Amino acid sequence: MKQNTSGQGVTRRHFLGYVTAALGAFVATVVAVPVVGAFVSPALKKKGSGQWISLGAIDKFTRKEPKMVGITVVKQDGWVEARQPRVVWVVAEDNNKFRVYNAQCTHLGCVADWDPQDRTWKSPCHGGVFAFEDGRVLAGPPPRGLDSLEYKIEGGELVVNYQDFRLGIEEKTAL
Amino acid sequence: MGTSVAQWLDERTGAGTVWQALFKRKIPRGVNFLYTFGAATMFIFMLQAVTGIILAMYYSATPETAYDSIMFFTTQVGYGSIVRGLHHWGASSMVVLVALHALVVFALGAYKYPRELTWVVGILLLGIVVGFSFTGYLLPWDEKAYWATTVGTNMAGTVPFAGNFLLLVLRGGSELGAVSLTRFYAYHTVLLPSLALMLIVVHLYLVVKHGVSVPPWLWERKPKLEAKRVEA
Ligand code: HEM
Ligand code: FES
Repeated sequence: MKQNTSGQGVTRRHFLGYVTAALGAFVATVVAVPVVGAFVSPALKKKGSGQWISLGAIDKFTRKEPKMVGITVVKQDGWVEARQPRVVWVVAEDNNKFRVYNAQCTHLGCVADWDPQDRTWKSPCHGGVFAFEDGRVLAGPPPRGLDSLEYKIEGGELVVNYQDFRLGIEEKTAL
Repeated sequence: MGTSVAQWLDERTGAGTVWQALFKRKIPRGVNFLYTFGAATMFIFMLQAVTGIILAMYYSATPETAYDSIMFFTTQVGYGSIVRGLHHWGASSMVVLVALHALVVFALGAYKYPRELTWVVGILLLGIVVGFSFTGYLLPWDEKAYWATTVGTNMAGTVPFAGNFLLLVLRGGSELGAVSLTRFYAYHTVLLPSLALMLIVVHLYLVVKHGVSVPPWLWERKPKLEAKRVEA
């Protein structure tokens, strides 16, 4: 093979080098698309929807004190059907109206506890405090009030549309 | 800028020398398509590594969940069926390519002095490729996988004297079950890849050290054509 020493044009060696690099880049891209796609796939999943869960007879809830109800949500956890514990707070109001809150503190997810002295909900973790009347933030780092949940009454039972939300941000967005 | 970064690195690592040795080495005249099967095998090895890492993220090595986890991967994960497909077809093509590579080396007499050790390391690599196939086949834990591996391990059981010992060690028990599955998963994703990687490094070192063999049809002119390492 003649070497091109004139400094002009492209030698055959260089040309083949470029072609090899281009083919290599093409093949690498073809492999990278599905591989990276499958790797980041969990971040592109559609948001989960709620699931309706009965919290029991409506007459066990009172106006004065919120009541904590532990529930079990059945989640499709990858290839496993997982039963996961969750907690909600229920407050009764007039005319068969209720307020149901997801008990997870909106800061980072500790379960908020009822403090009967202060009559507020308190997060055990970083000092988050939520108001009894509407679950708004009174103190601490939580970026939004407690997340209220949809409910309906069916055959004398309170049925809640349980849902998890993204934590640590201002907007209430489904997870 | 690109050259100055390359220079900075080269002065401190000597990476340029390695690059030269691997990609700018002299190749004897007359080398053709037949000499590409080693590199093709190498490519598939890298493909299997990359797709295998993704598969491992979604695979659960228990008899209860193995099959479901693979079905989840192929039906629920974006590109899952493509990644699994690449690994599946890559596995078969790797066996074909490595066999062709060995056949060519044999037919061209490339295993002769001074390349005997390249050949021996190659034979070990051939065994590892077959080992990958055998152990990977069990992982989906469907009927075919289960019975094929039952039969395969029973073969080991017929070896004189050591047969039963081999069978029990391979399976991790007298029957194919939960212990066999985690064992095969470890063979397939930890043991064999580390062995393969070490041996491939040795194999390629030897290939570079000796240069590619001169094809037989040019042997009379060999003295003039024997590959030498010259600056590129
Ligand atoms: C994982 C499996 C293997 C990989 C990745 C691999 C890779 C390579 C590569 C890239 C080369 C240089 C290019 C070529 O001549 O094709 C080579 C050469 C060689 N391989 Fe392999 N190889 C593998 C298995 C084997 C097997 C199974 C044998 C034979 C039993 C073998 C014997 C040799 C020999 C003797 C050479 C030198 C050939 C020459 O100088 O012309 N290799 N191998
Ligand atoms: S988790 Fe509630 S305050 Fe941090």
